[in-house]
Amino acid sequence: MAAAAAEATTDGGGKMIILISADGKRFEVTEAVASQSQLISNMIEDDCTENGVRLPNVDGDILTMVVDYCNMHAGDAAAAGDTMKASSTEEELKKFDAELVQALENPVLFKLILAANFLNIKSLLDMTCQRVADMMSGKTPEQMRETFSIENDFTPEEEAAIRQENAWAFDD
Amino acid sequence: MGKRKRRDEALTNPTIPPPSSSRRRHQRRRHRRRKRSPPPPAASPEWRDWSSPPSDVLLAILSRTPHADVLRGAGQVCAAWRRVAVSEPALWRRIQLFADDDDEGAAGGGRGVDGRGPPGWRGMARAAVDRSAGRCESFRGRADMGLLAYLAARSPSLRAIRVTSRIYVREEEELVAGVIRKLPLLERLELSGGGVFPATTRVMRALLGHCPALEVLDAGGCATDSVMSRRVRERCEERIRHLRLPPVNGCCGCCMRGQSLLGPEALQSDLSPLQPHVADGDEYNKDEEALGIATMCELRFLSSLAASSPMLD
Repeated sequence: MAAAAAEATTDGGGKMIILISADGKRFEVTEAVASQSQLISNMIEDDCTENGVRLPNVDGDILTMVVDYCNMHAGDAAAAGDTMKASSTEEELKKFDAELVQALENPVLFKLILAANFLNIKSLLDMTCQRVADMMSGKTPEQMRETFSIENDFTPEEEAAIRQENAWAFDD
Repeated sequence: MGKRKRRDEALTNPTIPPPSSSRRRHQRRRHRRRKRSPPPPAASPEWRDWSSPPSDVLLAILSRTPHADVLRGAGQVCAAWRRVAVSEPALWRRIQLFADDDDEGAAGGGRGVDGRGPPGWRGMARAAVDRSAGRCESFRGRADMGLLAYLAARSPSLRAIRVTSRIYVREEEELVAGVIRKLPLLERLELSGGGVFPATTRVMRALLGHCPALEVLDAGGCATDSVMSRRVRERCEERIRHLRLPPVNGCCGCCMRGQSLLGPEALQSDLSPLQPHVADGDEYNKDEEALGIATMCELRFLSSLAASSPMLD
């Protein structure tokens, strides 16, 4: 029974929450871990998580990454509850974040951003958006289109406006 | 109960809004077909989504992208990105462009060739100001007087200016009328790149009168060709918490205080309460001592300038 699962407790004593991905994968996490998502935190507050939280626009693969991230960061977000997670030091966290973000490629990075945005996990959204910003650094529009596989869909009017704008390179 | 229902709805309706109206999309498709270049190699559907993420996500990304990259790159990638880059004033609330003292400046060539800045820096800075739609609150980077006037005329909410390139203020009027009078909320004015700043009685009175919130004035790296009256200097010291004035006669601004025979306490009673606005052609209190120093400094300054600065020909 789902309610029984929701009542289960860990060694640390926190209440457990079940997250269900779009493809039906189930993840059992502590409240402290799940609360890093503002969306889920609100749901916990409103007491509507007893049957598990369905996340119909987050794939299992992506949710695995999100849960890993939240597990790792539960220590600093909710220092109160979980003593086990308090063991991850700041350096470990930094290393974990750096590795996670470096390993991200299109389109996983994009999906992870959408998930972080939907679940409203600010630190993860910050980190992933920063990664995209870094990928754009110093690139021309054409190079950016290549990097992100974006089609140039400007109308002729818009292209004319851009050309005019680019005249700024010669205005000095 | 009602709350729960709303949430359930939210969960089953993923919040990925359609990027544009169907009509617009239709127009674009038509245009696409006419284009010479073939579409990029069969991308998986989710890859194409980079061109249409929710606009708040795009805003989150672009707000972490250096402004120069938004102006020259991201804003010209596709229609959705351009929409956010051009018409989201929030993105331009804190403009930072070609600052000499940061990574972006170093990478983007903040100084450019022979100190003139990267090509097109003025146009880009003006575009950034335009896109802020009057909501710019801070500016940091390369600037000249023309740009400062452009910025001040369009940014009534401006609270901080930090010029990282050398700046030459030749006329006190262009500073008083063009900049100072337009910025009633100014809290910080920092000229960290050096240059020439006319710290005259008129300029300083204007700053005190028109920028009542001014907390930081740093022109310590600049040269000046004039000094202000002692009375105004005392007021500045009292009112502006962090004050670094251009060195006068080899001394920094603070030393001037030491030179006066009377201590600052003795002068205290002499201070009249500040008028909210200083009238045009204000009654310049001819302080003989200040004038004397001014003349001396001016000569010195001009001779040193003639030797060292080809910019002021």
